Amino acid sequence: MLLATSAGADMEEFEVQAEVAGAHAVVVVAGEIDAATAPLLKDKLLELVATGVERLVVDLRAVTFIESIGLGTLVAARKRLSVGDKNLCLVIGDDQANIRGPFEITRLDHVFPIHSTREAAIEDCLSEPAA
Amino acid sequence: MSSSNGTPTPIELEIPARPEYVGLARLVVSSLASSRRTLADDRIDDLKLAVSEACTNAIEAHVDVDVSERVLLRWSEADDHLQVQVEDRGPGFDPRSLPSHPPVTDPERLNFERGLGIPLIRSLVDRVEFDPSDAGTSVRIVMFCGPAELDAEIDGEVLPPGFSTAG
Repeated sequence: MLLATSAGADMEEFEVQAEVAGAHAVVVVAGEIDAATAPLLKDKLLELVATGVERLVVDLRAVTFIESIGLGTLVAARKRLSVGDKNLCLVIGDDQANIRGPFEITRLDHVFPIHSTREAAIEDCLSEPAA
Repeated sequence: MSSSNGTPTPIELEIPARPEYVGLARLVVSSLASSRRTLADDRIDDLKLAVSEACTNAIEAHVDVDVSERVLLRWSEADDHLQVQVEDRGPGFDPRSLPSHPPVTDPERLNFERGLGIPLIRSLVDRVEFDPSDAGTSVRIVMFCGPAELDAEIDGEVLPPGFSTAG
């Protein structure tokens, strides 16, 4: 199943797509995550959780900018998933220092496992059945 | 863009207090930083994020009290630094009133979705001052840097084929 959200003309570069398989989902985000776009991401993540998704991989490799409200959005989604260390993993490329940095500064890299490839994130977070 | 005494004239940008205009503020500030100063790309990213966080806070301050006035950004320069001032007309914000977050190892940490912007700004820039008043809040962000060196190799970047540095 493919779910897509795209913003209006002012934010046409922002996009969220989700591929759902049972209780697992891979969410691919593209564009800038700030106060204008974070609500779209939050809606999509919470919608997935509401429909029964228990584990998420959020691929941020096509994200070019992230503000703290984007970090808060991921915290909000993580909170609504069942207890577990690997219920929400992130994919951030090794060359995306501007995306990885805010997670490191706020120490949220200790809350979200971060992988540099989608395959590694899926292997780490989605390879076992959800709790 | 200089006054009679050689000091660069400040540049001002007013944006409507709506989140969709913060991207424009980021674009203008990062363009000014990269074209007018010698600042490594990662430091420009730091500046861009700090200004974005300050603008988002300013817009939220306006929305909270239903103020329709614009948010003002003022860019200014000196020999050894640049400064970006973000001014709002909200009710005045005291950064010392921010609750401290539990450690990331504490499950309670997940109850704090907001309040990361100010700590991020403090970490990213060389100096930041918050000046709250009844008329609004002014955030002054300072980054130390040199003037633009248009023909120099900056931060180890490889120049395109056909270009070379002097000497």
